[in-house]
Amino acid sequence: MVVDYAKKIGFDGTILIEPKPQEPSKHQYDYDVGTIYGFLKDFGLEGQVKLNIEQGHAILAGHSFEHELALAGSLGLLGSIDMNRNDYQSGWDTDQFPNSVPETALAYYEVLKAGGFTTGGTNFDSKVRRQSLDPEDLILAHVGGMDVCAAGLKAAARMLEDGKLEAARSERYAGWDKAQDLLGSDLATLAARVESEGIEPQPRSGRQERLENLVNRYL
Amino acid sequence: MRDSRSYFDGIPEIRYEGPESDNDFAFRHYNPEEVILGKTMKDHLRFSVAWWHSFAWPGGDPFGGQTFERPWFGNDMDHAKLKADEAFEMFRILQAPFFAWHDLDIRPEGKTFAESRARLEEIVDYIGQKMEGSGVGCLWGTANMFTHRRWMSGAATNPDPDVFLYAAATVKSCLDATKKLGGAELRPLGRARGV
Repeated sequence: MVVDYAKKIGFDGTILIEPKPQEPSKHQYDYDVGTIYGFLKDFGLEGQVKLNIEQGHAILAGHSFEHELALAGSLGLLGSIDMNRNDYQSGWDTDQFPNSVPETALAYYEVLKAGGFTTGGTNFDSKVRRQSLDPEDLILAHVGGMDVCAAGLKAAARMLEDGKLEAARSERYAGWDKAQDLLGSDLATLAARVESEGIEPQPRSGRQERLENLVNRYL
Repeated sequence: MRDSRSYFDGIPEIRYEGPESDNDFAFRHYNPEEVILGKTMKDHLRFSVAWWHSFAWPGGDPFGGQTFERPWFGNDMDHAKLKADEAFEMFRILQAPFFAWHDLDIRPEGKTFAESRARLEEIVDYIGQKMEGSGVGCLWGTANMFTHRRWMSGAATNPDPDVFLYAAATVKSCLDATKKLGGAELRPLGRARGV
């Protein structure tokens, strides 16, 4: 109905849905990016609606912000972001201003990889603490948040330009460049190949810490 | 009579001074016109200030009541316009290019739907005038379908079809307002309140 009415009045913006778990109902169809993708597919709305993804809601759903952004980006659903942070001890959606550059860097890395914002942006769905009474507090909260996002964006751009992280990912999955025919095959054929070719997979390191060290170099 | 001084009086416009600056009221990393990967930081980040948290929230929590005493708190259109005036003063200080809103953040609820809609149209015209020449745009607008008691059992998923009707009319009024302000639209799914 909303999409139809937007077309009728010539609205050229983007219709956005925001994943939001546990506020306060427990069982929801807008729980996270994956759940909303299923909802949109069910109603034939993919391609007509995008997502507004919030850091705090990602955490509340048991995900990291960058995971939700990466999934939305890969599904073509990334519209806009609500930037904030949760309290990591209470786990609750406290909508505080962002203050972690490593977190915003990974978030903007996914935004840049998805092509950046078009109609969307970085909305501060963030509030000062209830003891922060002064006009200066409202201003400085935004100044800090904008700086944390800017520092994260710069780190993300360095990470993307350098290309080492993407190269590591490509190298890890390089075997699949010559193995796409497997996906169109059938189980019996694949099973026969394992025995006839004597396939014995040799595990290789995932290099988790090495990659974490690499990411830290850009911060 | 309205005090002619701004709530933010005395706070300087925030400018980029670089990472070594010792000034609280300066950006250390956000340099709006600096080009990164072919776009300015301003166009990459597209910062937006949220009307609800910064201008409407009274500072309560589940135990404590209101802590903030903003001069624009009040349930009439004069206060709504003062709130808009101060919001644009804050956007100017921060060089914030966008804002986002719910209907309830920018205008007080009326006694009837028609009154609420008329108030929304009036404040949207007022905000539209303030946007002209300011360089500030609307990132998105949305409907608050959770604060008033009518939404206690949800909006689009409410067991009472009258609430669904009211939600439809509310979303239409917000979509019309968002189009007028040139933003994108966020549509919160009507979610059942109560665990």
